Amino acid sequence: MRAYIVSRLGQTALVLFLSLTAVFAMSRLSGDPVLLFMPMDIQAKDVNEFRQRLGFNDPVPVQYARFVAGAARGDFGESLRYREDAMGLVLARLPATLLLASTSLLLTFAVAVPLGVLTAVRRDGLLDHVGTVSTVLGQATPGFWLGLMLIYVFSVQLRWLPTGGIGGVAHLVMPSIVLAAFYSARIARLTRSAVLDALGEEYVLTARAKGLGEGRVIGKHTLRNSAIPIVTLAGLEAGQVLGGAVITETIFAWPGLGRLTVQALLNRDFPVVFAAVFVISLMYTLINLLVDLAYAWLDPRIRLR
Amino acid sequence: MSRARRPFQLKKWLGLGLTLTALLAALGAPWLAAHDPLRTDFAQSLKPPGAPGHALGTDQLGRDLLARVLHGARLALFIGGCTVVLTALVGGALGLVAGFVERWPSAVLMRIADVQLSFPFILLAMTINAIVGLGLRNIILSLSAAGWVVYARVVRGEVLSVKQRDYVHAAAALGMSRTRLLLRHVLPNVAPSIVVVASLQFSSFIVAEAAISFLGFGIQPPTPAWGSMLSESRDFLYVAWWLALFPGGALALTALGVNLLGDWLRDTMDPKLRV
Repeated sequence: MRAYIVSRLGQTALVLFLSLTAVFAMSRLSGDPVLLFMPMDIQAKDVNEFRQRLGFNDPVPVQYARFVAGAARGDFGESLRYREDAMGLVLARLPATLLLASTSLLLTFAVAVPLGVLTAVRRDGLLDHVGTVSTVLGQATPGFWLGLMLIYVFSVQLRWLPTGGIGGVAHLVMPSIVLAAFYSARIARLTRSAVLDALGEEYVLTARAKGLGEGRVIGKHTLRNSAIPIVTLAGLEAGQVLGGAVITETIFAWPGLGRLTVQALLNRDFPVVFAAVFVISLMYTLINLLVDLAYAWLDPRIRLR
Repeated sequence: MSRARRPFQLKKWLGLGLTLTALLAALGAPWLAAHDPLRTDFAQSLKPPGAPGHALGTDQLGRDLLARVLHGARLALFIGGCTVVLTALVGGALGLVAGFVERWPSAVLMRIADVQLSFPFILLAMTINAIVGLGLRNIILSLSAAGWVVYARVVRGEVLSVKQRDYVHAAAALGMSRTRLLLRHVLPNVAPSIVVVASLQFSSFIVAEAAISFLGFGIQPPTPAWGSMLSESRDFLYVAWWLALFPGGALALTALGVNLLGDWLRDTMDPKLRV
């Protein structure tokens, strides 16, 4: 078990290294990096100072070595826009994103898993049809459009909720619904099919035959056995939630990591982009490690090696 | 059995209907729209839907919204189509080779796939787009660079299982060359998976393009792309709801139609496939 975790952490480090190298290569291969890094409104006389300050006068291998050495210490240099430590900026925005992501994950599981179980148990009933239609719609509706429509209804027309920003619970309502919508639709669909699979198994027949109540048959025998595919998808999608946060945070002016990344890309603030890429890949690979550890806990037959 | 068939058919017809409508709008945009999507007319700015001559109203510059939504379909389907073809060709070919030649190419390819998959698709495509530059060609390239991995993985997995089948062993034993074996016996048997993945990816490419253009990359105004139209509509949400409703609705219905069609294709061609 310990060997397994150590080897997975090693793989995580390798993935991080390769993804940073890829971003570095892209930023150097697509023309003069100074022009790419420059704010659009820079004066011609500043270009040289800029070139010198960022070390673009050195050969590329030297620049790469310096980049990797810095990255290993979590140092990606100074933000070109804010003149602050890029990693510090990213870490300062992280709590807001974690708050939004965890709220919408809680919302997802509170809605999607019961919905999936109910639609599976009442297969072909009214609830199943309503549930299937709403999950299909939920999957097709782009989050940024849903966000705009919610703002129109609840902020512009009804004036119940703020249009954006961070603050009280009211600020959290619409962003977490938008972020949870797509995710819930997928989890609900998968839960339904996983529960249907498990309901066809012989141990369910046995449990019913020995006179267990339907609640225990579903809760104890079916749900636990259908948990593996649900947890797999949840882990795979967790990274996409980070991607969804980029859009959601921009619509609702939520001061998180996603909005910072979009702004950094628009401002060509590449030190911040590098730091954000680093933190996002790290979070994603760690989530996947946790998912794999969860398998072993859910299904004792699985041995991690 | 008959009970299970009903929603299955609904999927097919609703999917086909919505997809064909979008396709018709895209192909017929220049003839269906009475106005030029780029022509401004300040006297007619921000007219609500139903205004004379403007069925869906006009935007802040007096441009006809119906014309812009129709031309948006043209752009969305063109970008989605090009990206799907490009990713299917590149990803499919790489997956085919990686599955067939089980030595280092396979390992290297799967490592690259792991790295790419350790990053959210939309963020990856957006980052690539910010670096390579904006515009139609670059958004297609960015989406393709971010999206080929899915095909490579699925096709490689399929090839690994197909090449263990008896007919492949038999053909190899008869002395068929490896290239011919790959093209005659392996490719036709993984083709259904490629078609299914392509149809399921199509809608996610369309939505991703809109999201990227919405965030300020990709297709730039005044070109009538649904994403950049929605982005502009944010400034007028208090006075002109139609600017947000119609382009987004067109996008959602197109994505829904293509999704349903893809689901139906998977159910009929390759029910085991999980994408």
